[in-house]
Amino acid sequence: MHAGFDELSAMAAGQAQPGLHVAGCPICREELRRIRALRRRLGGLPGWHAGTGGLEQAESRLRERLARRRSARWTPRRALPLAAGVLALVAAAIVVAGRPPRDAASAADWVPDRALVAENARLEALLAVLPESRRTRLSSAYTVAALEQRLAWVDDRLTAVTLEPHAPEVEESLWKERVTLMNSLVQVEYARTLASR
Amino acid sequence: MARFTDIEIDEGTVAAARAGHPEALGVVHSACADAVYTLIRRLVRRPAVAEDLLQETFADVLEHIGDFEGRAPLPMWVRAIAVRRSLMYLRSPWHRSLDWLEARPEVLPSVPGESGRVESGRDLETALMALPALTRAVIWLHDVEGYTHGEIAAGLGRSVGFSKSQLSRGHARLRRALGAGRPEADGQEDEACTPVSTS
Repeated sequence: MHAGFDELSAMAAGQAQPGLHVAGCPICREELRRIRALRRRLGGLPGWHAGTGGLEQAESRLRERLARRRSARWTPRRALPLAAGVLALVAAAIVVAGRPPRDAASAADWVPDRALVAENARLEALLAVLPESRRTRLSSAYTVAALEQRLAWVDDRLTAVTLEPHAPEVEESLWKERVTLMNSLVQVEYARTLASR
Repeated sequence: MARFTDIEIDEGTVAAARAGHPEALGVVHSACADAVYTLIRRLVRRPAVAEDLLQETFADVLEHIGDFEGRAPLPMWVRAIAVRRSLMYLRSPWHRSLDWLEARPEVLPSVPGESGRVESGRDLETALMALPALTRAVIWLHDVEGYTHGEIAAGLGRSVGFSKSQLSRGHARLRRALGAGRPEADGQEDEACTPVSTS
C-alpha cells in the first residue's frame, strides 16, 4: 500500500522518516516531493510590514485593559461571575492537587484531553447550526450574555495561561470550564429557538 | 518574509526587556512586529482585525514579559502569544458565523482556482487566502510555522483528526487552484498528480 497524505506530510515536516516503501516507491516519492515543494513555496511567500507607532499603541491598549480590570473588579454586577470563576479555579486546584506532578518535558508536550476537545468541538458545531432566534425573553438574553462574557473570560485566560506556573493543569481546568459553559449556552440557545417558533 | 526563527535578540536586550526598560521593549517590538503581523495576516483575512490582534499581542507581551523564563527564544514566545490570540479570535462566537458561511459553498461567491486555474503570478497567495479560515490556519501553522497537529488541535479546541483532515483538504484545494501541469522552478512539478491511497 502507498503511504497516505498524513504520513507523507509528517515526513515533509521532518516529524517522521521515510520508510522503506517510500524510499523505493516512485509514486510515494513523487507525492512527497510535491508536498515539500508546496511547503517551500508557502514559506517563500512575501510578508507584511506592521507599520510604525505599534509599541505606543500596544502600551495604550494595555493601560486601557488594566483600567478596565480595576473598574470591573468591584462592580456588583461582575461579582457573581467572578466568584463563580474563583470557585471553579479553587475546585480545579483541589482536583489537580490530588494528582501526581508532571515533569517539565511532559508539560511542554501536553495537549488537552482528547475527549474534552472533542466535546468542545461537538458543542461548537451544535451551536453553529442553531438558527438565531428573533424573539427572546429578557432573562434568557441576560443568561446568554453572561455565558458569552464568561466564555470570553475563559478564552482570555487561555491566552495568558501558557505564561503561568502549572500552566497545563490550569489550562485543563479552563478547557473543562469552557465545555461546561458551551453546554449551558447550547441548551439556552436551543430553548430560545424552540420558544421563538 | 519575516521569519521568527531568523530574529535574533541579544541576551542583554532580553534581560532589559524583562525588567521593563522601554528602549529594550522597543527593540523587541521592532524585531518581532513584522513577523507577528505577517503571521496574523495569514491566519486572519481582514486587515482591521489583524491590526487589532497585533496590538493585543504586544499588549500581552508588555504585560507578561516579566514572567518570560527563557525556556524558548523570546521571538518564539512572542509567536506563541500571537498564535493564541489569533486562534482565540477564530474560535470566537461571532467568527463561528463565518465558519457556518464557509461550510456552505452555495452561499459563497466562487473561489478562484476551484473551477479553473489561477493565472496570475500571485496564484499561490490568492489560492491560500481563498481557503476557509480554519483550513488556512492549519496549513500555515503546520507547513510554515512548524506546529504539530497536537498543538494546532489544542489551539483550535478541535481534535487532532480535524487538524489532519484540514491539512489534507487544504493541500488538495491548493493543488487544484494551482492546476496540475504548472511548471515549477525545478522543472519537475508539472507531472500529472497521481492519487495515493491511504494504507
